[in-house]
Order: sequence, then structure tokens, then C-alpha cells
Amino acid sequence: MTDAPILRVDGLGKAYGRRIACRDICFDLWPGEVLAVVGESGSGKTTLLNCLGGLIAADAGTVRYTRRGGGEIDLATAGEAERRAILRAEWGFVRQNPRDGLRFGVSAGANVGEPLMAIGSRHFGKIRSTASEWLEAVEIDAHRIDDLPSGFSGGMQQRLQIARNLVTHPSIVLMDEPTGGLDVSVQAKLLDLIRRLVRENGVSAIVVTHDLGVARLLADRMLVMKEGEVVESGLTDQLLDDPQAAYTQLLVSSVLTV
Amino acid sequence: MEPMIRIEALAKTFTLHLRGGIALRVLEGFSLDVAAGECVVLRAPSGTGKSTILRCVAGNYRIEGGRVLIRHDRALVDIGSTSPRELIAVRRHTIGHVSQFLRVIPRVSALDIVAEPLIDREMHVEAARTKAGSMLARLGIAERMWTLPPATFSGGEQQRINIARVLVADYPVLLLDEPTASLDDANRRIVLDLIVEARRAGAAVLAVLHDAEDRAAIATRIVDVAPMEVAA
Repeated sequence: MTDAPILRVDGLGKAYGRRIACRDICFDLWPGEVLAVVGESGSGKTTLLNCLGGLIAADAGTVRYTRRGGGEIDLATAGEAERRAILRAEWGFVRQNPRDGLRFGVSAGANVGEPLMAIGSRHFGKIRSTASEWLEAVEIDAHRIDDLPSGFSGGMQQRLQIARNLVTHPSIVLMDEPTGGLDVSVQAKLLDLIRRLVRENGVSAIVVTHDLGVARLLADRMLVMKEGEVVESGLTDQLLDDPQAAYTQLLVSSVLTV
Repeated sequence: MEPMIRIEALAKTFTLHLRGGIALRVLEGFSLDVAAGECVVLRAPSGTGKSTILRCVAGNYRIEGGRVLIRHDRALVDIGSTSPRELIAVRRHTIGHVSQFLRVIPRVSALDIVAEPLIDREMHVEAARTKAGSMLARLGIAERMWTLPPATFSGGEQQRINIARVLVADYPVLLLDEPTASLDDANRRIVLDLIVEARRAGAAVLAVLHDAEDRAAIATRIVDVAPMEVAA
């Protein structure tokens, strides 16, 4: 870990007409750190992630990212081509719905290999063997490398998406409800995988989730969002064990424990 | 001697917004120094804020009145005002906190849970597992259980995993919340011995223990925590 943030978000805002989705979002993300963004549906957490991931344009604020080769760039004001190139080469984005994050018309192996080709790999044999290693890493049998993702279960599709996003060794991975809609046992497997891969690869991650258990397990720090604003932030265990804001207390007290 | 833990006039109130903003004052004006090689045991009836003191020192609860200072990397760090990032570093290298319950991680084995704090400090994985294994053996966890996730372990076994995870890492500051609860006599002995060993090796230990005999076994000093009047 170095002593400078890899990402500095300041005053980020986005409105849809008169409805404000995000207002004045500020946070730093450090190398190797996992930040969870929690809040209920409509709190603006996915809008925030989509602004960061370049899916929608923010109305206000700066997103200053320190590039791998050094040098800082404000992704909010960068040109479209440059931003796309940086996000493709140095970021990953695991979408809530595997249909948004995978290509269903090509094989599992191609789904993992494509991002490598996009950043310049040309050796087919090497790409295929790397893809095969990544399938194993996310616990998908390498024999299924030529199968289409449509034949995979929801949990497998999500794991394939994670392989597709980590294969390029990104600096930052964005994850939108990575375990949403999965069975509890499948969730546990996926969480363990994400936790391990993020640690082993030293990736920084921003994970949007409405599940405080997911945040507890994965995140070093948390932002709690409500109606487009951050109402509380801090270390994950502080926020969950000693919540200060009324809304955070409500979230924490609403969790079912088993 | 320079303290490892310095607690100055610590105050803590819980404001329960969901219950009409009722304020529960749990601590007020609590001060204490703990030096290296010392084991201070807090004594008070249940509900008087002993665990709250430990949690404030660990930075798990937010400090709202007074200060907690921890010697970390030869400097005193103010736990209440330091950055989250610095607090993570202080916890990783300096503070070992045995809370009352083990937080199990699905699918992660007992051995890896215990080895994790060592790996986080960049110890080689195999060396960390070896050290974790000898701590588990010392605490009487049979080797056939090491590869299993502790979710299905008994209360006493989970408690020992919890203790192993902290004592394996030789933290200079140890915060122990009822470390002997739910242990049988033989294991209680072992845990008490380990705590005394850690203290003799130079750790500053702050513990909460209900059992008078256990207190006598490890304490170099016993401090009474005065109960607060509960006011709305």
C-alpha cells in the first residue's frame, strides 16, 4: 500500500431532471482498499457507481484517478475516448445482472479472453490458457471453456463476470450488488471468492450493496447513502457496531440475524 | 514508564434515534494507563460499560468524550481522531482485540482464520499457517478440525479460535473481553497461561473477566469501573 489515494471523488452530483440522484458525494479510495456503498433502493448508490464507471455522465464534481503509470486525471472531465481507454485497461465493472456484464453470444473462454485482447494480447494460445486459469480461479470447470454462458447457473455467470473483470489485473473494480438474486449458499461461495481475489491481487474495489452482511465481510470502509447523500461514513465495524445516524441505526436494526 | 494505552476521561453515550432519541450514558470520566508488561483487569457488574471501554480503545465504538491514545510505531495515536486508514494500520500491527463472539467467515477454514492476521502483515502463507497450527494445537483444537470452517464448531471451540486468532500475532496491546467465558477448566487454564506469557513477553493487556479466580491468575492490577446512573 502506498500513501496516496488511487481515487479522489469530490462533490459528485447527478440529477434526473428535478429529481436529485446523487448530491455532493466525496470520498477517497486507497490502493487495496474495499469500500462498500450501502443504502436502500433509490438511495442513489447505483447512480454513483454508474457515474464512476462511465455509464452515465455526472453533472458536477471531480473523479480524480491516479493512473497506473502515475499522473492524475479527472475522469469526469476527460474526453470520452480517453476515459473509455482508461476504464477498459485499468478498471473492471461487475454488473448486477450478468446479462449486462457478459457477452452471451460467445463462449465462457472468449468472455474472459476478450478483455485481454482489448488491451493488446495477441497470442491465442496464451489467451486461452490464461482464460482457463481464471475459470479455475473462480471455480468453473475449465472443461466448460467453450460453453456459452447462457448454459450456466446464475452463480456461475456471476463468477464468470468476475473472471472477465479481474483477468486484466485492474487497479479498481466496481461491483453492483454482486451477490444480488443468488441463493445464500451460492452467495457465500461468491463472497469468499471476491474477498480472496481482491486481497490476492491487491485490487481496490467499490461494492454497492443493500446487504450489510456483504459489507461486513468485504469492506474496510463504508458509505451509507440516503436520498442521494452520504449520511454517514467510516470503518465498516464502527458503522455497523456503533451507528450514529438515525438512518444507519435503522438499517442495522433491520437486519435479521441467524 | 511510557504507557501503551492511555485513556483520558473517556465518555460514551449511545443515542437511540429509533427510540425517540433517548440517550444512554454508559461511561463518564474514565481514565486509565496501561504499560507494557502490565495486565489490568476491569471489574464491575454486567452492564457498567466494561466492554464499551475495550471497544472504544479498539476504535470499534466512536469516542465522543475524552481521549484514547495507543502507542503505535513509537508514537501515540489518538484513536478517536485518527483517519480510518491509520486506524486500520494500528489494528493490524498493534491492537489485538478478543471480542465476545467469533465472527465466522463462510467457507474459510479455522486454520486460515487464525493465520489471516499474520498474512495481513505480509508473513509468508506457509509460515503463517504453521504458526497458526501450533497455536490451535496449544489451544486443544484437534488437527482434523483445522480445515473446517468454524461455523459449525461448539461455543467453546469458536471461542478458542477467536483467542488463537489474536494471540498468534504477538500484538503489543491486547484487549480481552471475557476470554475464558464458555471454556472448560482445562482450556481456561491454557488460555490464562497464554495471556500471562503474552504479558511477560511485553504486551500491555486490558481485560474484562467476571471470574475472581481468573482475575487473580492474570491481573497485575484490578480496576473497578463505577456504575453510571442511567439517565434518559
